[in-house]
Amino acid sequence: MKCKDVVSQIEDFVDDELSTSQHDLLRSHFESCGNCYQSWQQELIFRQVLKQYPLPPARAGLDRRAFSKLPRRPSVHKNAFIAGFGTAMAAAIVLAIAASLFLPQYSQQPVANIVLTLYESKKVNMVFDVPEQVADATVSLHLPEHIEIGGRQGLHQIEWKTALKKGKNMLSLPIVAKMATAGELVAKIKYGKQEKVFRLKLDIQKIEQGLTDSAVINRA
Amino acid sequence: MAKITDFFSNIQNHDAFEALLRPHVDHLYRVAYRLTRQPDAAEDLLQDVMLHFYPKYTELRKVENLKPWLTRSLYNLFIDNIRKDKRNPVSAAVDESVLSVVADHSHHPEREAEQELMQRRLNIALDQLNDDQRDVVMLHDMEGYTLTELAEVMATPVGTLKSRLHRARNNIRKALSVEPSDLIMRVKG
Repeated sequence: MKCKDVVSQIEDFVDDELSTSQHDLLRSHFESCGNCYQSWQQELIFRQVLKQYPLPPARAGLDRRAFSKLPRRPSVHKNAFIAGFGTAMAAAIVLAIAASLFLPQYSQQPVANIVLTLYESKKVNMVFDVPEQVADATVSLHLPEHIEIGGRQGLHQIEWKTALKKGKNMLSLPIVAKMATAGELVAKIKYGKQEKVFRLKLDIQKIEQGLTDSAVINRA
Repeated sequence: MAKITDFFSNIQNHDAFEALLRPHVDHLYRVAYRLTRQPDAAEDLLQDVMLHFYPKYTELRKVENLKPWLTRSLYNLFIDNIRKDKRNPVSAAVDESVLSVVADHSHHPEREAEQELMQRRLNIALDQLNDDQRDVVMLHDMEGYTLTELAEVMATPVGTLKSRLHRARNNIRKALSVEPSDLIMRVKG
């Protein structure tokens, strides 16, 4: 094999892109030709120089900053987490409570009573009638310590931003009671400078028959 | 009836998206840095990739091997968002922290100075390459991508990449213009 041919193939040799037979030919040539051997070594060193071209370590907190342009994550208080939410909903019973967002008589007043059975998840649908679209409303929910949203321990307070469409908007909540003590679910909706507060009185029963007594309350 | 419980799906998707992509952050940053050669620009590019994929979470979950997929998207975003902006040429501003990395790891002043000199020359050599040549050298010779992988990432035939790589290496060799023995001494110390 001629040195000229060998030199022209050294890059491919180092890149391991030659056929086995061609690779073996070059290797045996290197053993007998000092100049070509030097060229091969030189190529290896050149590649090492490139490979060692440094990459400064990323600044601390890259993991966090990588996602910093994403839309803001809805906030959940008390370190609660909702992964797996919805799996315990098979036995849920749906109640519907409708209220007009702009009727002052529902503000600061309980709008309905709901009977929960201890440890049983119940879906409560709250329907808010909105006369006009609200692009940037903030909805927050507050529950007593012994009543949880989504069947998740510690999930008692949530706040998030949402758009309200003109007409009926449904807030569907799975809640579960952990103690046989009455409580109150407070839903607040803020939009512009206004804030409406809706209260839901929650009675807890130990027996299952209470569920059948739950009424559908419609005050649209 | 409109639903205002999109909160639940939003929060789940947000967390799941981060969990899915977080293992790829370091790798994507490396590639972004290689392409942009600036930490701020690399982070910007990385954030743009995340923003780009955020609405496509469902689609993303179905991808079996995310790494090449994400790398290709990052490269495309780099071409679309950064390189096409000729008012902001990337190669004009080499990150000097590259040099301090070398310095920080050496306790021998002479060797440190030589290595710094070598990196400066390499920076200049890289600057002299055209964009396509620089990309292929950065990703193949520095990041270890195979040409087949790069063909996918850059949507360019392997043969074309191979020619670019060959020309790029020749240009770097010329720009470094060091004797082989000199090179050996500097690398092996």
